[in-house]
Amino acid sequence: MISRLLTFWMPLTWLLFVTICAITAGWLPLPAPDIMDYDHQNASPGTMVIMPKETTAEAVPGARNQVYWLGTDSMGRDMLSRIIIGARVSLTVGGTAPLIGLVIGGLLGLVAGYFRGFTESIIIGCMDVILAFPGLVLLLAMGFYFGTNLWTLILSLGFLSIPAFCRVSRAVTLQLANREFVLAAKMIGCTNCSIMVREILPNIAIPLCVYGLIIMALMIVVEGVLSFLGLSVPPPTPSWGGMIAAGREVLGEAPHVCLIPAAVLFLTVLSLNILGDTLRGWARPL
Amino acid sequence: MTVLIVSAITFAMIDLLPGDAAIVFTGPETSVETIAAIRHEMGLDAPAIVRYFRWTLRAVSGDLGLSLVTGEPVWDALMMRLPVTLELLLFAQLMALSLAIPAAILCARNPDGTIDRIVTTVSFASLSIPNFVMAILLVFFFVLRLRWLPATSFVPLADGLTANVRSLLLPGLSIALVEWVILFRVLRSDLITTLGEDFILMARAKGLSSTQVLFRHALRPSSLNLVTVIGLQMGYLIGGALVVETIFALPGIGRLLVTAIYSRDIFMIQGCALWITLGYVTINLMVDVLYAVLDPRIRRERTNV
Repeated sequence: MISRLLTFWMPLTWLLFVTICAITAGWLPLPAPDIMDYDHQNASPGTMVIMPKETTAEAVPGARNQVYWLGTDSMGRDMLSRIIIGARVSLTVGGTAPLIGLVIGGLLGLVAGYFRGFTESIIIGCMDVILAFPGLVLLLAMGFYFGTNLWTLILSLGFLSIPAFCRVSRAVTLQLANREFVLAAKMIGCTNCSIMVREILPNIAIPLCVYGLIIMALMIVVEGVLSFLGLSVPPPTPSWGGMIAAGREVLGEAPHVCLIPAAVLFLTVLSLNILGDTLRGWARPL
Repeated sequence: MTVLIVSAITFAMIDLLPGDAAIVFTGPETSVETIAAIRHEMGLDAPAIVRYFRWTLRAVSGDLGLSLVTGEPVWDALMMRLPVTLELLLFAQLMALSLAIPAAILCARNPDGTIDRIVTTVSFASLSIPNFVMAILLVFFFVLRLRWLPATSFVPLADGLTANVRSLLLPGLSIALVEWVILFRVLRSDLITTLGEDFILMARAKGLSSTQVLFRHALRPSSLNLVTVIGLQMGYLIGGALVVETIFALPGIGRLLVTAIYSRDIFMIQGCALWITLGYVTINLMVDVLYAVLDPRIRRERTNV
């Protein structure tokens, strides 16, 4: 019971929490992520700012008391709101890039594993060429060529994840291709296409999706690395990797600026890894 | 073959980019005529295929062009920085192995025991820490809090071994602490499988101690997959080196590439990408050879065919 709590419910809760925060960021009572408060740079978590009363001379119209729950960064911007907005980048990349790989790679693997022979050799050959590049170098080059914005990033990450999905889908298809239900479908005269879609696809879908969780973790890490190097989304948009990079400058005097986004990134990746591992264990008996 | 395709893609990718090499070379406020003249001088106005062949021919003879920013030959810059990266990779891999092998042996001895559970959990957590976060954590604790090590100063091997190792300790560790998990997992599961085989039972029945069984009988047949994984992981390791070199300001190829990308130094990027990719392909070839050395069955298969 406790182990299920740790390996399933807790990671799931964290992921849902981050996702919901990211989606509802606009409605949460938070300062905007790009408002700079020069009176409170590198404020430690939980700093309270009490504005002067409306009646006094220094009052700023419309200003409210607020709390920097996670402190502020070196430009006095609210960390909590930046982390939540930054989650949008990480989650968009983590959610959509594996989807591209899942669909294209999954289908290619299915075709390769089902038809074997020449088709298989060609598909595997193409995958080997993609794999022959060290991933990060290819990504950097792609970002350099296509410019660095969210969609090219997602497309190139998705492209790079194709071989991994292709391998998994081909391996599962190979196991299934000679099973009784596939042979039976062949016997009653189903076309290859309908066998693949109606008999094999439902069976490879679950292992592929579970594998997708682990790739999702990897994509979030890679996005983190790229934004850490300043080669992901351009600067005004907050991203976790970018925040970690900015916080590194003040690591000595205000470690929270760097360590809080790092912890959030770690927890998210850890949750995805644990969840992927648990679900893989559950999905195994095909 | 792979090398050819890889070089063609590298070239195509860099060649098609929107920023024009001639503009980078001369600065943004140059007249159209000067740019056209420089384009002609650099051979940039020739068709792409012609330029690709020129580039390949020159690359084979060791001429990768001049850096657009510093003007030094790309080949020399690469040669100068190669030892640093190689040393870092080797060091990191050694540390990862020296963590992974003992851990795997300890765990495989008693699968699902207390030690196994603890180590597996720790490995899971450490896998989820990206390289750059690990590097920052290490800097935070060892440099800023405990003040055990210097922060960012690379000491070349020529200036003494101890100083060199000291300066590579944190960069190497931040790669190794993520890398060891992969090696550990593969070796652990293979060791558990091997320990269930008949010849291990036989060795035990002969009265060999469990240490002897582990080291002399089980380790070698279990290390096959490990070797493959080491080769496959080189891609990630190179990526890791790229980030870690940037963080610790090590003068390696990874940092050269990142700097080149910041300054849109086209020929430098081409050269770096080509070298890294070539290195990666070569390592994987070497792994195949090593495989045959470790497993006599593969050698025999090849001679029979």
